[in-house]
Amino acid sequence: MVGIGMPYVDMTVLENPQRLAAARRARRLLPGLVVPLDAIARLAARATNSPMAIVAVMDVHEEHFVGSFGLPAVLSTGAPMPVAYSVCKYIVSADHPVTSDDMSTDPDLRGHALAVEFGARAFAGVPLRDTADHTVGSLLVVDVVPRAWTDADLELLVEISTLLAGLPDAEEHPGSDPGVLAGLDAAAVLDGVQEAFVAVDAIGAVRGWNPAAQALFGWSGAEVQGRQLDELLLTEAVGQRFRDGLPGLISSTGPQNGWIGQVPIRHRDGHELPVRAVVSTIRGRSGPFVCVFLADLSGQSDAERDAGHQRGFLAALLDSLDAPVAAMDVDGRLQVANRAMRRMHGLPDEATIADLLRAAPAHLRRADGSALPTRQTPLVRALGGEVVADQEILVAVPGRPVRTELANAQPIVAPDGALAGAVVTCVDITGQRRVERFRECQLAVATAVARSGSVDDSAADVTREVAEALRWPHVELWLLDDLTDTMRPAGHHSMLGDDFAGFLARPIQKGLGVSGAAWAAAEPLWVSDVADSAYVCNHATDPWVRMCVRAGLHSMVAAPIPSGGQVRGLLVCFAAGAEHDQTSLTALLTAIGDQLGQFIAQKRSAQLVQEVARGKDDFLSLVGHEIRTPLTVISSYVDMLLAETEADHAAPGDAHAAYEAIARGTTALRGIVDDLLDLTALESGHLQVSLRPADLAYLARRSLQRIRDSADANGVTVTADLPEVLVTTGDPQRLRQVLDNLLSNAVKYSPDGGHIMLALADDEQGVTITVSDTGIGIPPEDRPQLFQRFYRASNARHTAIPGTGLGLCIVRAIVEAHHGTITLDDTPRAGTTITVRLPPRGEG
Amino acid sequence: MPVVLLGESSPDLLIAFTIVFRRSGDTVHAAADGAGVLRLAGRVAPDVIVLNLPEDDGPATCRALRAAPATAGTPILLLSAALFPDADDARRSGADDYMTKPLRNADLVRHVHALTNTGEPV
Repeated sequence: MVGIGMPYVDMTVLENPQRLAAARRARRLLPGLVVPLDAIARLAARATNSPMAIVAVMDVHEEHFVGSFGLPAVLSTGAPMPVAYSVCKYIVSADHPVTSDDMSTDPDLRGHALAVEFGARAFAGVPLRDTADHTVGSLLVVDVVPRAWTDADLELLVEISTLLAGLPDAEEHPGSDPGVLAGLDAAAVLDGVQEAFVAVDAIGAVRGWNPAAQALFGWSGAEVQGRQLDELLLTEAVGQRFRDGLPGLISSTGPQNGWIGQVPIRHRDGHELPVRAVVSTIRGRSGPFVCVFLADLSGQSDAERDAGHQRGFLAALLDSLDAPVAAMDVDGRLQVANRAMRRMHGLPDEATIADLLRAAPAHLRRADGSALPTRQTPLVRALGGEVVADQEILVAVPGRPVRTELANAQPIVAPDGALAGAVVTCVDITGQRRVERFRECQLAVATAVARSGSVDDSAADVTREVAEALRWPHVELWLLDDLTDTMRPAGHHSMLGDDFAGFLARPIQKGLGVSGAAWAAAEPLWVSDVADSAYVCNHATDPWVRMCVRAGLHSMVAAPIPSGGQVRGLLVCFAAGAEHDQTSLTALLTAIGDQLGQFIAQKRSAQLVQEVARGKDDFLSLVGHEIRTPLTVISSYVDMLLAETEADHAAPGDAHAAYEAIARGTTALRGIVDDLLDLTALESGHLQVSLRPADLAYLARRSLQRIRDSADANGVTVTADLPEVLVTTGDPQRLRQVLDNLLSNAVKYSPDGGHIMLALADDEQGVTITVSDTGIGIPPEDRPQLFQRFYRASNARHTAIPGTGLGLCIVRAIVEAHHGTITLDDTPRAGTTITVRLPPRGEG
Repeated sequence: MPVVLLGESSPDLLIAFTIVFRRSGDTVHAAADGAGVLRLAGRVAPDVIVLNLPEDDGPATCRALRAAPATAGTPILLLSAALFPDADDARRSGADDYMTKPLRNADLVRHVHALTNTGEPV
């Protein structure tokens, strides 16, 4: 052990400002030395037979390994080392060689980080001094086994360290004072330069590298020392030029022989940046160097990048819009089209403007479906100076549903007023138009059905309206045949052409196929592609499916026509191309199916009402007719029996009373039958009134006479206000019937002590017959039904007063046959007043 | 007293009307259908003919009676079995009068006697 001094740290020495400035200068300067520092370290290691060597510059709290040999990778990163790893600090503090033969035996060194972490056991170091004799660092050799360092070792280290003592001198420079230059610290000058400085030797290896170069290219001086410049910084093409030109550069001298130009340089992280390079060859003590100053041009590039970025921002902004946007320049060249515009034309997002120009023109149609000439497109119109508002355009991309777009376009005017181009934006109103079309379709279907009066007869119109609303090529209407419970085609609308005449000739069987399944389920059924549906058994051989494929039909919907809880028909629709807007289309077809179903139901119920009415008449006639003969038999024999028993006046006996009862019943029954047949005849028009002059006053007096007995029996008084004679035009028998009915009704419904008034009047308006009573009256709610057959007011039904409810009905039928009117006095008081008005004489 | 020829398709009424006419003092010959009426008409020389036959028999019989010389001038009373009979229909088939059922015995006798000028006109 040489044992020159004990290791200690002297902060005063370390922090000495002059030493510190020298150290920092050295740190910048040393990498610029023509002799590589790692080579110095290697030399020191070999000379002392040590596995490791370090050339270090000592700051205050950190140490910089500016050159090294044999160090573990983590110690040779070029990053500053914390003082804990520093041995240099001892050497600088002592300012003379320091050694340790075995760190593990030294209480101050056995815990040193290099010993603990990296297995260092021995070291020997000598100070490094700059030209001003400041101690800036150390040259150190380290071993991992105990060493007995010899004086020869230390002498070798000192000798080697002197190689680093001097700095490359500034060369003589024309135009500069050599004295001034000689006094300058070249490294400090280069440090102060903003441009990156790189020096390259004759073989192209990096020998000089200033901090600006590190900042610009990302490599530290230590990293690049000795590496080939072309591999490090240059692209392949520029690198080749560099290699080719290097011998020429080396052989020339002076900046005049240099080269200035712009070249792309590769940054450490791989991105390229443009630099302006000023290249010159300088001949130094260690030979000629190619010195390069590199000015960063990426400031300029930044502006360009910003512009590009801004363009990207605008493109992203446009692409984020849902509305299609496109713009042309003044020469009519399409310059901008956003993603929505590309999608509108069925193009992928990455499609180019050229793709769009190829595809778009064939897609554009007028609202009526005809092709839209280029000169009428909104963009071209706007380029002609026009402001285009809400031009409706159809966009028909093959294989996709037609979209309806509302286009707005306007010229782009430069600040100076000149036309710069045109821009168009579109709004998709497909859904809106579809809703309108569907509403119109429902209305049209309702109109067609109402006009024809039957779903069957309007089938052609209905299917056409639906096909037009859907814009689908083929629509069929099938209706249920009640008797056979099968579906038969009622009508269709088709654009398929004559080749597909047999398309409809297929049976629809409940539960089979798409239509049959919709029928069975009574629900609309949607199939996106007929040729690929689970409802078809054998896609390859089914002739009907093959016909679908040949006709280009894909989507199919079958909507039931429900009526009275039953499927009365099917609306079956086919689309060219796969339709996906299932919800709104199904809603439309369901609504139309329901509409047709309702109409069918209405129609059936109206038919039913008619049949019932006719049935009732037939029934009444039949009953009346068939009752007449047996009634005649009964009355005929009762009359005979009465005549026989009547003969025995002395003792009429029980039998006679019984025959009288039968006779009364028969008479009442005959009255009802007579009334019914009378009424049926009158209402059905089978019985005409025969009009002739009739004296209403005479008829009234006869009628009063007839009613007198029953009125007296009921305790009802009857008064009359009659002219002597009142001749009118009418059927005397029927008018008598009117008077009889009105009076008998009044008597029937008047209580004991009641009063009846009959009045006849005659003026230019005609004849008026008024019958008033003080009877039970007619409740207001019963009045509207009063003249209906068999109708009896509620208060009459609930009393014991017998009646059929036919009397007033017959009266009205007779009055109406005379072209007269019958009214009920609705003044709210007890009793009833009925007024019959007949036309003036000769007008009935 | 007149001789009445009765054509009545209902057996019950045939008996009833026969009794009714006999009781009023008339001579009655009755048949159940048109063929029987035509057969009797040639033999009995009726003063009045009363027909109550179905629609497919009554009018034809009526016309046949009018066509036959023996009964061309004999008054005919039609008892209508039709739904909506009127005098015109009856006259078109050659009848002189008609009555609708149901009817009272007395009314029937009155109509028959009026036709034979042996009673009050109706």
